[in-house]
Amino acid sequence: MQHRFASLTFVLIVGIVLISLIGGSFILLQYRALSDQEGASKEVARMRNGVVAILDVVRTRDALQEVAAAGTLEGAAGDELFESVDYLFVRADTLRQALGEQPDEGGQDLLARLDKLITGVDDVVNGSFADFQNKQIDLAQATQRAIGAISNFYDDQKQRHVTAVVRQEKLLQRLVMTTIGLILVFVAISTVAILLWRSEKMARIRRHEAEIRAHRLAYFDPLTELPNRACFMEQAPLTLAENDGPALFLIDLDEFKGINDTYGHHIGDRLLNLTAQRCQEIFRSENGLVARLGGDEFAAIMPSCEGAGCLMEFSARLIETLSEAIQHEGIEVHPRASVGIATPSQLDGELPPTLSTMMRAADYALYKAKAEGRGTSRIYDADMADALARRREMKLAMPHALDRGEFFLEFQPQVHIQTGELHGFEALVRWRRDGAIVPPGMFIEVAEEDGFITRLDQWVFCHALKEARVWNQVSANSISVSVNLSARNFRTPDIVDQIAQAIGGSGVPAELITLEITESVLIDDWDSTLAILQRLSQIGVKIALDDFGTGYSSLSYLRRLNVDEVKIDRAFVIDIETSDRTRMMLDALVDIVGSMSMQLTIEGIETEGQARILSDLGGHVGQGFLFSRPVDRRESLHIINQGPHFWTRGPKQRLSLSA
Amino acid sequence: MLRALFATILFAATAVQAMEPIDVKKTRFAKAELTVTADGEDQSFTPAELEQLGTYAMTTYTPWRESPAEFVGVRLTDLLSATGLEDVSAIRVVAENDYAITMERDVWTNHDLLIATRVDGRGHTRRARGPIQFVFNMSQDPVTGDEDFQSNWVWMAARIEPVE
Repeated sequence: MQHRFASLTFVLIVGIVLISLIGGSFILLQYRALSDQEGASKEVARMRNGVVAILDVVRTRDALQEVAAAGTLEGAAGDELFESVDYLFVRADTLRQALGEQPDEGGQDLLARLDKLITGVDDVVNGSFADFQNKQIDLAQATQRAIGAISNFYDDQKQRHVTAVVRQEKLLQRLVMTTIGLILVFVAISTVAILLWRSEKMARIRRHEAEIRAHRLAYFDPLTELPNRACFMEQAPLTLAENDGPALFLIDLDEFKGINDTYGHHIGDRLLNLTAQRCQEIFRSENGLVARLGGDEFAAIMPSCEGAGCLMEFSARLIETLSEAIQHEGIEVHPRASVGIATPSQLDGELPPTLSTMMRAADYALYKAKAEGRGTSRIYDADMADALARRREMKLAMPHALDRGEFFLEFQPQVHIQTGELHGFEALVRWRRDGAIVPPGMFIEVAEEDGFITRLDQWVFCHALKEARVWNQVSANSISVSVNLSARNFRTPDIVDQIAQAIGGSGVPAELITLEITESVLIDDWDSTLAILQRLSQIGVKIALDDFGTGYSSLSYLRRLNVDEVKIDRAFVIDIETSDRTRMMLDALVDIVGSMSMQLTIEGIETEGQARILSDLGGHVGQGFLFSRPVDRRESLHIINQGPHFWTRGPKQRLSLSA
Repeated sequence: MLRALFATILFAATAVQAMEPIDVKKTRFAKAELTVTADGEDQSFTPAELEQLGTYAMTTYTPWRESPAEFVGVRLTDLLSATGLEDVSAIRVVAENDYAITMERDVWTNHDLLIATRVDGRGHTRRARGPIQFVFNMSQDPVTGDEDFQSNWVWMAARIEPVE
């Protein structure tokens, strides 16, 4: 396209140059031809001289006649002849000069006739009258011939003049027409050139706009108009390299999926937009770079920030800004964001500070921030690097550990608070690794992240059922068993069948089995979760909502879920002896749960006082160190063998457990 | 002696030749007058009278001469002053053959204009475009030789009248 315009422009330029040369030469030639037509004015001068010459000749003729009449050359008549021939002489001289060096035939004839007349008169004017008389006839004849010659000359000049004028007119016409033609051609060419230039300019503008559009599509996120991941990956290394002490931020909205599912995508999009705006505002003041990496994940680089203190202060401000409530279409949403930060100095040579290592570090810091309660920020440091390495290593080790039998179960007794009778046990998985117990919180988190948890849960479920079968064989009373079921299992399509199959093979009545789920199962897909829970209820197992009160819409879930048991987190129990509010809240919860025919289980009971209060409030089942720490299978059997009564209210009523 | 005789004869011969009568031929001179009309009155000047106003000389080509000639005459400005026409804006100049032109003041203020009565030390003749001729210094002032200026070179000048 551009090439075509270039060649067209070249042709136009060559055309203009050629036309200028040809037209200019033509006009110049015509102008010169016109200038050469001096004849027109010369002929007028000659014609005038011709007319005057006739007068002069006539005067001379009259003078000759007067001299003849006077009969003498003396006196006035002679003087007149003398004077008139002088005039004639000057006239002839003037004509000779006007005719140039090579006069034509008519001109030569004229000059010859005039000379002859002048010479004739000169010969007699100072002579005798007799000589005059002798030459009178010749002079009359010469006079007549001179008049004839002048007359012919005049006609000839007149003809030449007419011809010259006509030719001049034609030349002038042609000159004017050529000039007009040339101007028209120039106008036409200029018009074409302007049109071409314009269309080329428009094409260039369109091309440029298309390039800008393509660039925007390739490098910007259309929803938030922030740079996208590709743009960030291109820009960030430059920003990191150009600045001293830069910091990379990864920002993630907490529970974004829940907000999206609960309020709809338009609210979700609005939240993303607003978050983008807020990020941009806050980072712009620091000359930072902000991008949307995808989903609810944003990345930013702050060019310079000295020290962790500054970073923490800045990130606190960032989180506060991002947590401001948004109002849209009458809905108020309270977003929260977690932030992971990485700086080259924190990598401290352990990793080369490339963008990808910084991203990985920030990602891990973000993970930590989320793990540590969300709505907060973490800066990546060497400890995190260690933890990260440990987690990786743990992740790889777990499947083998399961095969090698490193996992085992412990059982924590659950007691009817009102009666002190044993209700059952919660099965808890433990990992003994190289002779040490791995903290459950740590490996379960890794297993959750990895997906290994489903396999582990299955293993726990099967082994817990085996124990439950034994318990119920040796016990006169029914002993229930509670097993944790990770949210991950709800993504397994045949989870209900697997559970049903396991129960069927265990010989344990389904109603003695409680599956403990957390609120996190409800975040992913509400409908399918509800369907799975419903089918589990149909099998006959009980569903317990674990860690109740730690999430942020627990009551809402309670309203919508059909569960059999609610397990209250230990956090509610700790200050129950000192806080009226907690007591009142628990009282209300007991009422709510009781009126919905659900069982209320309280975890983390550690003192007699707590137990008494909970008993007075009407709590159903309790679990905690006051009753018993988790025990192994042998001890669990021992407990069962002691009979149904497990605990008596009052100081130090707990059964002693001897090995 | 012989030589002295010879010389005497030779001298005598020469003397005889010099003493012969010259061939007298009748000749005529043109009568010339330049008449200036001022305040309705005519004042006529013969070439000799004109020369009384003070003469100047200039050597120049003319449109009709192949080699320069020395013209002597009176300046038009002097003539106009002498006749009380120094302030006129234009004059009409008429020749003996009734050729007439109107000459704007610029012509004589911007160019040297001599009313010549002699050429190369002799009286100006009618055949040489005299006897009274308006001459410009064409050698120094070539514009005066241009075709459209040539009408100002009035020869056989006869009358000068102011143009109102």
